[in-house]
Amino acid sequence: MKKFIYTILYAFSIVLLLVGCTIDDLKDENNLSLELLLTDADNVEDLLVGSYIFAGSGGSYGGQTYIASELVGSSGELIWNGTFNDGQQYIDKSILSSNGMVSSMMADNYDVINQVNTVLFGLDLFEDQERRNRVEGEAKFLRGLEHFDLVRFFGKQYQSGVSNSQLGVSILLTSTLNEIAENPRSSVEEVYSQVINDLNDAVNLLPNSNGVFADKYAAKALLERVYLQQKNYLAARDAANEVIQNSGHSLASDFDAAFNNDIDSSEDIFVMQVTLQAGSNTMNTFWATQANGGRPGNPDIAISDDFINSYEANDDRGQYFYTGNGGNATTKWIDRNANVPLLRLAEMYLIRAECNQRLNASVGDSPLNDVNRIRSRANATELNSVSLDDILVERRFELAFEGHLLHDVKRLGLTAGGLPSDSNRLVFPIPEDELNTNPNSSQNPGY
Amino acid sequence: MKKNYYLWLVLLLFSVTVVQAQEKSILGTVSDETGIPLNGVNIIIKGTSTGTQTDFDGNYVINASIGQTLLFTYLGFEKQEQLILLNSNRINVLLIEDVESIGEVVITGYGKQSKRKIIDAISSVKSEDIKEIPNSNFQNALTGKLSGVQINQANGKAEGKISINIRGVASLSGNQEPLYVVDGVPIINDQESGSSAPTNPLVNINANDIESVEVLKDASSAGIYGSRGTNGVILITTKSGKNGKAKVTFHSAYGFSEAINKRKWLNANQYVELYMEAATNAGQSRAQIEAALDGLATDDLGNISDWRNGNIDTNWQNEALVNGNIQELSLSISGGDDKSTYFMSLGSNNTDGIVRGNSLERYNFRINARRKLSERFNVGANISIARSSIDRISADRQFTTPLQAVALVPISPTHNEDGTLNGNTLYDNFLFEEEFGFFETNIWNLGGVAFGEYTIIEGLNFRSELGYEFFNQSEEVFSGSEIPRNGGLSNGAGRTVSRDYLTFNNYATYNKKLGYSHDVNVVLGMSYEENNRKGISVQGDSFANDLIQTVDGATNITGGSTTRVSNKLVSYFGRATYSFADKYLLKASMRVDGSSRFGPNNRYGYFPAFSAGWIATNENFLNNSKTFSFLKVRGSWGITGNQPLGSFDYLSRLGSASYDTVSGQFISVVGNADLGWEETTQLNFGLDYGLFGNVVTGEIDYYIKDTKDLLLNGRQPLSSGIPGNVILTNIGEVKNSGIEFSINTKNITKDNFTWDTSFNISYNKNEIIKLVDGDDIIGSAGDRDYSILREGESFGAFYLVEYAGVDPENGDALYYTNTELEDGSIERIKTNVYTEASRIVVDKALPDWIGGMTNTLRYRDLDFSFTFQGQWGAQIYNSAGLFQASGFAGGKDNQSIEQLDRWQQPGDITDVPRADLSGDAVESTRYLQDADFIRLRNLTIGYNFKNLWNIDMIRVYFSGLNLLTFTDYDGWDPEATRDDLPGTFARGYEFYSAPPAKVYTFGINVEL
Repeated sequence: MKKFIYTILYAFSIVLLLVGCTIDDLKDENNLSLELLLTDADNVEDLLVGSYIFAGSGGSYGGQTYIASELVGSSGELIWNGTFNDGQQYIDKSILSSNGMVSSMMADNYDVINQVNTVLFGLDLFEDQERRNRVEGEAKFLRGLEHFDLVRFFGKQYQSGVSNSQLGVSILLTSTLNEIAENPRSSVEEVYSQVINDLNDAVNLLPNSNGVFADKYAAKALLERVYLQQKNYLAARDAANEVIQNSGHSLASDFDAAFNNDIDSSEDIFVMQVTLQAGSNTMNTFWATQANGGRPGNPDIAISDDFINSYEANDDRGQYFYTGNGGNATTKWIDRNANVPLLRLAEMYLIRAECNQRLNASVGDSPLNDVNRIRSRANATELNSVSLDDILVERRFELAFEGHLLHDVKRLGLTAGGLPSDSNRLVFPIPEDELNTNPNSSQNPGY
Repeated sequence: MKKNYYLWLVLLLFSVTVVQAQEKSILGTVSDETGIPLNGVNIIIKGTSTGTQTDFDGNYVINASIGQTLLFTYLGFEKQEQLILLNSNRINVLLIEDVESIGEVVITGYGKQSKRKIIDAISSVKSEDIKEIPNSNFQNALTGKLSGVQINQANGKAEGKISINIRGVASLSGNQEPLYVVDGVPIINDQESGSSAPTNPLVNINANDIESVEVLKDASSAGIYGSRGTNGVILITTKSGKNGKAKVTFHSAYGFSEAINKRKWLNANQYVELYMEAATNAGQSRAQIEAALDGLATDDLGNISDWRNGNIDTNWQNEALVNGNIQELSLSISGGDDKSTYFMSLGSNNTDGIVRGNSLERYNFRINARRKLSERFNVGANISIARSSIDRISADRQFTTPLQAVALVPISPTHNEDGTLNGNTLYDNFLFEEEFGFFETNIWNLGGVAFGEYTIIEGLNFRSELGYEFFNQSEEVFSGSEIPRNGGLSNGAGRTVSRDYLTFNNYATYNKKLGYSHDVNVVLGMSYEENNRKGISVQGDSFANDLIQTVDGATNITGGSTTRVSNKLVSYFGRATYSFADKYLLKASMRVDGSSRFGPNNRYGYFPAFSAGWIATNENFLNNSKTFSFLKVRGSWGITGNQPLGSFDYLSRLGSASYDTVSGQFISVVGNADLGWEETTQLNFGLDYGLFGNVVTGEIDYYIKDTKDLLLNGRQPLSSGIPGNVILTNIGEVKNSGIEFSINTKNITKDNFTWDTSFNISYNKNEIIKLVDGDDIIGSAGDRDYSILREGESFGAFYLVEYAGVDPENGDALYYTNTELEDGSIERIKTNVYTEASRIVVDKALPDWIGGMTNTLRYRDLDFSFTFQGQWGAQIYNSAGLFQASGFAGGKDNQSIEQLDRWQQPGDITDVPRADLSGDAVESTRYLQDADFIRLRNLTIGYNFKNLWNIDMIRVYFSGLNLLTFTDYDGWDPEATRDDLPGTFARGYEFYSAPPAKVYTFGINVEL
């Protein structure tokens, strides 16, 4: 009988012990929950830093945004050696809506926008006005940057003087904290307005310098790129001028010094940071030979001899190449751990020169001087006079393989691979991953 | 003489009548039909509680009176009674096996039941059925033997993951594998590979330790495991000792293995011929073509092989697929007395895989012991320790995977003229990885269960089980600086995962027979489980010297992390079984599971189940039927669940990272507070039959499984900015229905010769019933995933452009447009412009029919058995088809031999388009094939030498695995599939996946 009682007691005590065990006390020890984060200004700033991490990812400004522009804008001077077909589709300008590079570019760019929207949502937590402004400015800088490149790729070229009602991209102003967005595509006009508003806010809110993060002059420099794309030469020229004169940046001592840097050079206005542990230099992955960290195409994107030969003999920029057994590779992307420049001063000079030339002005300096500044830095012979064409050629020589090509083609009415600048094939298809999930989206003509 | 005898008799009679109920000593021997003495037979004097047992030699002695009856009972044998007569002194008894009780006991969750009274759908195999199958993964031995259970080894790697689907697939992105329970305690089945190729977490189980495997297939059997029962439950019971003298078994086997099949690729001359044609068709000049070929044929030193004359003709496939071998050794000792039993085993398995660079070395130790501390109290413990050391190779989609060598060009040599490895190959030359790197995984499993069982009063038992498993996997990878893709920069990594799994089961069982007809069994209990996982990893590069290959020697540490995750499960369960007159059977069970994996709104789930059955042959009208020796009709209904894979899937989570040197947080996952389990309601009808005195026995089952609240990574718009573009939600419904049929026949049963056959075949139909908003969910083309989930279609359906053959005029590849017109009809014209063709849903990766047949023949001491296995109705898509078979349109990769049938001139009728560098390298049904097959899965011939040199038995045998395969599939093997993409709904893809091995083994077993 005793034994019986003991057994029952034993059984009950076990049951009691375990009823007391709860399963609700576990928390995720590796990740913070989002709700927890938005209770403290410091945490919101952490999220802002996280936005730069997204912006520097492979599909965004770690490389794909530039690669897409260079390959699609090319006319035979680039060869694709990659194993998968996406890059070849870019070169052939026969891009399928299943193209993985297009899809990851759109996805990564919107990831940044969502993240900065979450930061903007938490702005009220900041008590210090100066800090709040800086955070807001940085967030809007990134948002403007991302929307700008999205509309440049997925929408038709902005035509000045008309209301650009052609389809642009979806504008994302909300955060996944509040809703999962299924936005229709806004018109090109609306997107540009949003971009310019965001960048103007950024210019007003950001400090003059901000370490490796976006500052006033980065926003201004980006704004001039936007104006240039809109063919608003006056605004572009003025913004460029202001950056050149007041930002404190100066051209690097020689051409080589402007590239493959671990620490920003004097010429860098804004770069995506890459270190050994963090950041991805996707430009290196595709433009460098295998021995330098590139893919087996050695390199995946090779440059034609013809293009290299078009440089003047003593121009450093014409020597800035090396070879792998897949062809010629550009030395601009040779270092796998180097930062990826987004805005550099040379571009500012070229914009100022082009705009001054078009406006028949010399605000800041004459176009001739600006062009020669760029040329002499690269040890090319200085010119005696410049025409608009000379400036545009200089732009091509200086900024080659940095992601400007397609946008210049469209802006300047040039051809790419035999296609006219307003061809439907130079506008990216909306990825099928987007069309399959967003009922409010729609495809571009020709796809 | 006779007179004396009669005199004695008279005297005896007098003494009997005078001394009534005079006791005498009765002795005797009890043996079975073949004369082997039986130990432990119970002998009771009927009507009393006096009794005894036979000893090791079957002898007994008992004091009884004349007129009393001795009752002899022994498990598995028909009971016998012997009346004690005047002249009875020695009573020898021959017990006959109880035909109906063979395989009598079936292990169920938290208990066991007599097979005759089971009213659930349970399939089982015993150790006899799964022995002598030479493979490092024990699950391979179950193939073809269990109806409704589909077992596939993903590919030919020794440690490769095995996927088991019971009654179809009932989850889209949650767990699709069954729950594995060993000796009452669930075990870890989460694969922890650090590369994208999954490993089999059960690789450390020693098949020789297994006594039986029961597969719980329907809701009333699996329902007792509640939120983990949807995919079925596999109960593994390990061997235990028996009362008797110690039995020592020694086993040794050695096997040779090779790939089941090698594909044919172009040789050097064919390559050059086809490449030239493809390049010419693309408009390239002779000079360009020759320059390209020169480039391909150049080695590191700049030597160009003479490709015009085929002086280098490398067979890259033979570099990757090599001959392997298997060596197995095991030793087990078991025995006991009437108070204790023990089983102890040691084992080892050494496998050299059929893919170069892959090998596995495993050591096992186990001890199972039981002790009866008193009449009421039993304790026991099972402890096992196992360790595997595995040399691994790259995952299928990595460039360095050995099978991708078939893409390399035959005019390119493996080595340079100076003997060093040629790095100037079209893609990575995997031989570099082998020579200058390594990838080693060590897995330790320490586990066991300790239990105590106490009989409170007669019929009422209380059992407490404490199970613990410790899993530790450490992986080290090193990739040297001489490997071309490293660009002179060596890199290495180390990763360790440690897991703890604690289970505490406590339950009471009550068994009571009320009167003659009522049999009641009640189980009531609770269970607590806790699972902890810790991970550590570090990566480094720029090793000072390639001879130092641990991360200690790295100049730069490029990454490192530690992680911790836990989850808990608290459960209560109960089950009641009632049978009336052994004819009418009823069962009901309920399990309540509270899991930390669920969102706070959905913490606890309730899982009930009911079943009923009728043993028709126990009814008077069928009792003496000559045809039906056994007929049981049964039905069951119940609800089971399936948990999400992640521990915190319901939370929105951030990740930490740094930008330059500043630390930050980024949104990594958007969560869902309503997250719950996936719920399956299953209905099962079954018939168990035995005909002609159980010469023919079998089961027929029909089932319907409706699953709702499927957890799916619902794809979100790219423009919503959700990282990964997915949110996990309970969104869908899927239905599986099917039939299972099994039949076992004793074809010939003679003294010297027996022949038995077992056959099973099952059909499963899978249909997706509901997805969110009725929208399709389409695989990501970026992952080479062309699967689709669409309402009305099967899981694993493909979504591809339909190939329409070749235009005989010009050799262009043609596609069907399949355009959906406004009126809803489909316009199907052929076009050679790929972008004009729309994708359609076509075929599926899941088979319709699976089956197996096993034949066992025995002639005296010689036995011969073989098992066939088959699958019909599934298709496989070759994701590498556009590289291997597009006539060089996808690149300079070597092509399969079928490309020689290409179109060459107008009027050619063929299925292979014109070889053309500028042709289409696109995904279409051109690379989709039927994967039906019949395989001779295993075959064993053995001879037993009994009582030779005083040894109980010496057995020698030959055993073969995967000896013959009959299929029309022209890939490597219809079971070789891609080993990345775990956890998504993509299935049935091939991408340079290694075929399984064909193994020939010779072995010897010695039993002392």
